[in-house]
Amino acid sequence: MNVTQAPSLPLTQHLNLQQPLDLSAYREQGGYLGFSAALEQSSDAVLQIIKDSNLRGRGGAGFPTGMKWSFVPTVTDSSEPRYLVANADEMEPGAFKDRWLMEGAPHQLIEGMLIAAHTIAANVGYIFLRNEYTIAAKRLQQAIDECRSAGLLGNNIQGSAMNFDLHIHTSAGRYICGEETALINALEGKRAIPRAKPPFPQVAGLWGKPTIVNNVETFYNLPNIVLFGAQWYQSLGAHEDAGTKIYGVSGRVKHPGLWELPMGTSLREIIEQRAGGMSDGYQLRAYQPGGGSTDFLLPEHLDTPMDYNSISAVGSRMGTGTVIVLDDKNCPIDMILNLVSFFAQESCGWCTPCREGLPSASYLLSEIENGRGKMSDLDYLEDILQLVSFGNTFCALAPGAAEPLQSGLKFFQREFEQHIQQQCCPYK
Amino acid sequence: MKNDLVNQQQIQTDKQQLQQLLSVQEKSEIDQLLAHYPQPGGACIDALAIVQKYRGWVSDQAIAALAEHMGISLSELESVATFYNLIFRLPVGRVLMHPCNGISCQLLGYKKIQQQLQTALQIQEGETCADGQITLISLPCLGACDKAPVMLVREAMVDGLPGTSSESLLVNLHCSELELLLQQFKESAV
Repeated sequence: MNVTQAPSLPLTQHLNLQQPLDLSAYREQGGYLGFSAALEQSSDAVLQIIKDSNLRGRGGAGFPTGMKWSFVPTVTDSSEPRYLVANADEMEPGAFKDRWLMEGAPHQLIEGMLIAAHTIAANVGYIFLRNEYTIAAKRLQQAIDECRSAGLLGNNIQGSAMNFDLHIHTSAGRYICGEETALINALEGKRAIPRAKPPFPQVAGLWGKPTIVNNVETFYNLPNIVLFGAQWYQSLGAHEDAGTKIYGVSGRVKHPGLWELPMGTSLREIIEQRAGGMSDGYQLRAYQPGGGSTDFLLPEHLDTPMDYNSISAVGSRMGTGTVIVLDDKNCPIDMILNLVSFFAQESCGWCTPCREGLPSASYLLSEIENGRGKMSDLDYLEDILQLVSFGNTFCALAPGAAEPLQSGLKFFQREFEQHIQQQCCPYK
Repeated sequence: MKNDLVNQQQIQTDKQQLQQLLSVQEKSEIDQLLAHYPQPGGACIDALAIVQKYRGWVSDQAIAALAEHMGISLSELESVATFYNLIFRLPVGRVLMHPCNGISCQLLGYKKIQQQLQTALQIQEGETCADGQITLISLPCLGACDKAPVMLVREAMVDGLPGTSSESLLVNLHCSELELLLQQFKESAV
């Protein structure tokens, strides 16, 4: 069938959480047409479309996808394996978008991966999936099996010269596996510690071969970009960045959930309109715009568009686009303690600032929260922030962990002092 | 020389005994895995998961047998086994209860749920009930923040737990093994 009408919700147009579309139903709705269109073009042509679309990686860092792919060296020996990995190790506190997409539309992930595989000439793919995402695992495996039977995976796909097979790797659970070089170590069956860069994975990744790792949501963008073009995709954005985005809100709001909205939708619309505002009897105190490793923002920032540059400009990060809302009845120090403890537990232990700094920060926060804090602890916490800042650590885990702490010390200074002066948590 | 020979023989016997420890089924699944990887080490995590699937956890003997079978060093395999949260090097109960301690669940009552579970099961975080049935291990953000607070029981997500009400949080559970626990819990919640 031919699809001429561009969808207004390109990421979720096929989403069905109760019963995701099987291969034939997905095809009836225009599924795999994006891949077929890609396959008819040279890999260079597809790469150019993705570059022109200004698609930025949806894992959190926002690196331009086309540019990332362009670092993969050209094929000199077609027998040499090249790898493509979908990062489905969604463990960022407060992030739940990738699970939703994979459970609701597994075929769209595979279609996106096929387009990427064609573009970078990958012949083996892995979906690096969280152990706990068992429903997604079953549905993805079923979709992969359907594709194998239908000749969409395997050798000579759709009669072309393209060979690509796809496997699910179930993680044994560590947050650090979401860091792309640590993920590659985990896929190789090693402790998931990050690798030094360079060499970058695009050149020497999995088993030393060229490897591209992209976030799940990034792949969901690809089929419609190929079908309807870079210009259409750019026109979807509401502000600076292109496309649509899965935004989410959790915490004490009336309707926690996920929505596909134009990139750059304001935080006010996301929190007040989509999530219905705060639950009755609760006030909005602060929020993290993009998951647990992003700086707190305040109600005064609500009119900021949720895109990469705008959120950076007000002092936080877009991250995963899933907002965590702090109400006025939960203790902010306890929230920071929860986050920092998580990152301390999940530190891989490879570099000293992270391994030693995060547990120290977690200990000091727990002393303050439990009424045993000293004013000098606040200075120690500031010192630790220096210790774990960018440039001092091997990867981005500790600097990410520092974000809620540094903004928390600034925005909740009064609460920190209250806890210490009263030697108790005033929220208990 | 003679002692060396005896030691060698002993090592051979130990190795044979280790080989017998893994079941035919386990070995067959692990061998299938090994065929997919350029190096045997690549199959480490999946192989540990297979052993754990059949035994519930990975004992010292089982990990030694696995290392022997895969042809990799025990220390290499141990370093992997101890790194990941979901490879258990101590025995766990038949049913794993994993309340989510992610921030969204904490904001909506995780601590209370964990406290209630500890009281009902008469164990602390990370422990197993005296009858060996249930182990309580909180896990980081389970990615169901819109339904917080949530808990993973076996492999099923239990959501919308009444973290802030006094209602029994276990009424939603459907695992028949948990009926006794449910009863216990209801009594303690009254």
